[in-house]
Amino acid sequence: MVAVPAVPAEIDELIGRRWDAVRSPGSSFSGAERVAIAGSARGETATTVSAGVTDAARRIHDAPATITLEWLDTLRSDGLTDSAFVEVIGLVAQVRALDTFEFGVGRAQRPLPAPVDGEPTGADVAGAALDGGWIPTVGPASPMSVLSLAPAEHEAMVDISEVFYLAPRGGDGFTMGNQHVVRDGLTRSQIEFVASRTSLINDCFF
Amino acid sequence: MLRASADANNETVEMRGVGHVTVDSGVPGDGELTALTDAVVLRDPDELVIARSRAIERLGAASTVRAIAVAANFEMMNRLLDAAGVGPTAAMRPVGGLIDVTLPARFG
Repeated sequence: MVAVPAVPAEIDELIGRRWDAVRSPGSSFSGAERVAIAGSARGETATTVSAGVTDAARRIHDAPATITLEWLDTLRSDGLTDSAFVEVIGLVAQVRALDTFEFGVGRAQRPLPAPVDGEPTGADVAGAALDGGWIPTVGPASPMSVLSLAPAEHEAMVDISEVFYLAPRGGDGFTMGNQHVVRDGLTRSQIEFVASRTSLINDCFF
Repeated sequence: MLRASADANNETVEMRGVGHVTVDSGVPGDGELTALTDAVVLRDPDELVIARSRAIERLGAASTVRAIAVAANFEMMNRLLDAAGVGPTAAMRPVGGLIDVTLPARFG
């Protein structure tokens, strides 16, 4: 049997950095609430966030392709704001990515971190409107605008993409615009093959 | 993106190989990458040990870790897009046919 492979330092640094952000206050949730959302996504019972937030976290984590606008509207009618929902989306998606990677390289699931004290920073994003998605975005709904209402979660998404996959921009180096990129020996076609297969398994058709 | 990268690199890729394990996509190591991706995304610890070993033997340890990282990244991206109701654009929809996968009714 081949040994479990070593993980590059840049990936371990990313994982540490992102979990530090998970446990820190966000725009709509405190650090304790964000840790509870991460736990809910993993299937743990949370008491510090509402049932709607728990439901959202679990569904985004376990069955994202079953999410409908009608379900989202139910959350809205229960009082969940779009900004809060976007923060939940970003948070849960990050946790899923970090946990998936650590599972893939043979590590045990990381325990939830202790939350950082402090209040939510508030969400104040100008220029967001419904433009092709179910939630307001700044510009047309796309991977780069989907987290417009929670800028810190957008930055986290970019951070993870840059280290795990490719930077979402043009230019040379490890960028999405570089069709000839080879990263750790994996060609762009091999990278996109894995991306396509992952999306197919998840029933995501973007 | 797979089709675009293949075109840019003058590679021939059979897109049906993404969805059908019996179809040779033409992407080097596609069998090992499929098994690894499936085990990682579906969280199958038994299959993972086998698939990761085979990927390391075929592609090397660094490429295998990178493939796991790419799968993890798209675990994130898929959730962002599905939860926010961002579906394929009109230009993307024909790719479903190339992969030989029927788009769900929610995409019209």
